Amino acid sequence: MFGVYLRRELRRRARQSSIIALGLALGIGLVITVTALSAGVKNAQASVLHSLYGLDTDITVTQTPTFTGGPGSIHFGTGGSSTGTRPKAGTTVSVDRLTSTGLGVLSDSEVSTIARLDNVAAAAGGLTLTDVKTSFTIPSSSSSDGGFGGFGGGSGGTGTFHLPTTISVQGTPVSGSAAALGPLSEAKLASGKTFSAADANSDVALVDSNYATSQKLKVGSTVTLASTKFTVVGIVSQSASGNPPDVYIPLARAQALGTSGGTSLKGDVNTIYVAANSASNISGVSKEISGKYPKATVTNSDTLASQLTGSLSSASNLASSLGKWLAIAVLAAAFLLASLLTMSAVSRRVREFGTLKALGWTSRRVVGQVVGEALVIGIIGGIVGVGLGFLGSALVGRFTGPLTAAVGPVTGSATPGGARSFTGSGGSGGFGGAGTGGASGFAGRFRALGGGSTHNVLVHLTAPVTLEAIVAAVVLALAGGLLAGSLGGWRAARLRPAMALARVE
Amino acid sequence: MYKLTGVTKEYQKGRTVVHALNGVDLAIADGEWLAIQGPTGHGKSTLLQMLGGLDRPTAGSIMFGPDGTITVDLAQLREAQVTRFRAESIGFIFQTFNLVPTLSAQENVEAALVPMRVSPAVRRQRAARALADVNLADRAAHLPSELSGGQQQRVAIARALVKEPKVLLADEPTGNLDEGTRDEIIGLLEKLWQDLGLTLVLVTHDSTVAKRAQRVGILQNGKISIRQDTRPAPAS
Repeated sequence: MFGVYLRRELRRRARQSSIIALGLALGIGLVITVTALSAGVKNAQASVLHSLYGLDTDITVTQTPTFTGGPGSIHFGTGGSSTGTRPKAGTTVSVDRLTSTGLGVLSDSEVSTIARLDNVAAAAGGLTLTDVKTSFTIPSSSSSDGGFGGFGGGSGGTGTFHLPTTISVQGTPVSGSAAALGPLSEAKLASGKTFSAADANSDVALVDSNYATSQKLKVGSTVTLASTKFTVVGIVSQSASGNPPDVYIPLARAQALGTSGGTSLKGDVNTIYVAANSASNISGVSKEISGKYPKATVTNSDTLASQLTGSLSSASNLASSLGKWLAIAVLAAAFLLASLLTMSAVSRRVREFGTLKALGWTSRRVVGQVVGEALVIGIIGGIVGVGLGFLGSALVGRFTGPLTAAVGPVTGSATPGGARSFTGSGGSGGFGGAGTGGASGFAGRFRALGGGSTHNVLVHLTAPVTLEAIVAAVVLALAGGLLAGSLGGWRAARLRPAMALARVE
Repeated sequence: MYKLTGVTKEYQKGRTVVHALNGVDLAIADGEWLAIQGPTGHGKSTLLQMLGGLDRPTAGSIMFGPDGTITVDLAQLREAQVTRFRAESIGFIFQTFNLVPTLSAQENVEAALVPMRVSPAVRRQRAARALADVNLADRAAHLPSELSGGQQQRVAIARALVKEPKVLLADEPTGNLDEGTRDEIIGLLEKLWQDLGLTLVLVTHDSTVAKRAQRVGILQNGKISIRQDTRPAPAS
């Protein structure tokens, strides 16, 4: 009797039942789509982190640079030695420096300390460096002239300045669990071999495939960094959207050859990559590292989210603010509509329920009928809502093109791209200037390159519907049905049979 | 079957107090057919609702039970007890039939057996038999909207009788029917009253209907006066 009565009644009120179910479906579908979009944005943010720092890296630790002064002045002399003697006019001076710019230094011991913290699975240090090669010809000059007269000649001498060439370089651990962290972990070996433990102090290099193509490099070629020849032992392919470095060299060699503000990087790193032992511990480990090193910048995918700019950031804001509140508003409206329509339906059936009570039906049985009808409508709305949710998430994935995520340079953050422009001070004179007296060096603004530039990452946004979202949808559907049924049932339960039968319809 | 003593019913309508029943004293014997007449709004339906436990009096007692063992005061029963009483002992017939529009004739009759907790198979069987008793076996699958007024009232009678009640309360059962159908329905009720030995209390405006009863009570201004009957009770 219960099932027959329920089915027939829903069919009789088919239009009203459909409206209620559709309202619930829209609300639930929106909740699922927004939840899926939020999950997709989180995944995209995580993929940004991984593309920058490597697959297994959960946290990075960097430091704001504190050195003053430029990258160091150039003291003239043959081979770049600091004799302070200005070379003869016409001499070509070449400078090849491997420098860390835009990131402060951390020590190897800090890597070890972090590796020993609770819930840390592994920690590795790395050096993000830029190899800058500059060459210029010493001009002939009178005593009244200074400087180099700038590009293409100037009022002073007739020297020639060649634009610097840069190579982005990553000093990376070559063995142990540390080797699994960092940007190299994202790379796939295309030819040759990767680093082994024996290469720790060797002048060997892995080269990015795009860079190899542009520079016509292959296994066995050489790359010169900091005036040192490195033999290419392997070519690796990486996603261009992660802005990978051009060349990887063993960390020990990078430390030996690299400088930061003129100071050697021996025993130092400028990024520490950390893997937590589980996703749920990432936040705790981040807090622990921040507590131990208050001056360091600790970044995980959650904090990275606050630093992202670009369309991924917009998508994140859309999902978390507009999307969330819209879903809540639509769902609340659907619940209200379901409740009002159910109560209205009970009002129209007053005489019917009064008759059933006159026949001896208990209030509980009558209320059960009303609640049952509302629950079935809720379940139908839930099923349709889940379908709408899948459709919404599919549409998001289909029509959202690749999103960009730009990371740094942001003042106060120390992401790999988090360099700030800084000024150096050094010798007087400079490019294009009419220097006074014999200039012995160049200095001035030295724009951070490689390690200090903005990283743009391309990500494809998907909106995965998770099991949790589906379970939440079912719970919401039942809740909507129960709420509507309870209000309607309460009204039915309060009916006095005599008054119900006295109503004229 | 019933002994009413000083039954009074008052209810508030805006600022005024309406006295629907004013100290009604009434005894109804087992197997009796009592018709109640009176002007509209003078308490006939209210009295019927009291007898059926659909409403409670403001004052007075309504004792119920087989003759000689009247022990239950309907006015003092709890809600669950009154509901049980209605389910087991009372059959109702209404002027507007009050069939559930989405259930077939068979299902409407079965609805009266739902509170009795009989098995679905027994329920179907008894409902089919009840419809056959009112000559509507061939209309069992029809919805109320597919039945005439007379047929709907016969379904309502079948619904009232399927649970073999002790009392049948009919509130203007022919009020919405034409003359021919009226006679048909009253004839059916009379036959059932005779065959089953029911106690039948019937509210009606129609004197033609009323005079077929054993006794006629006139309810006016909430008070009842009985005209003596000439018809004997049916043999039990």
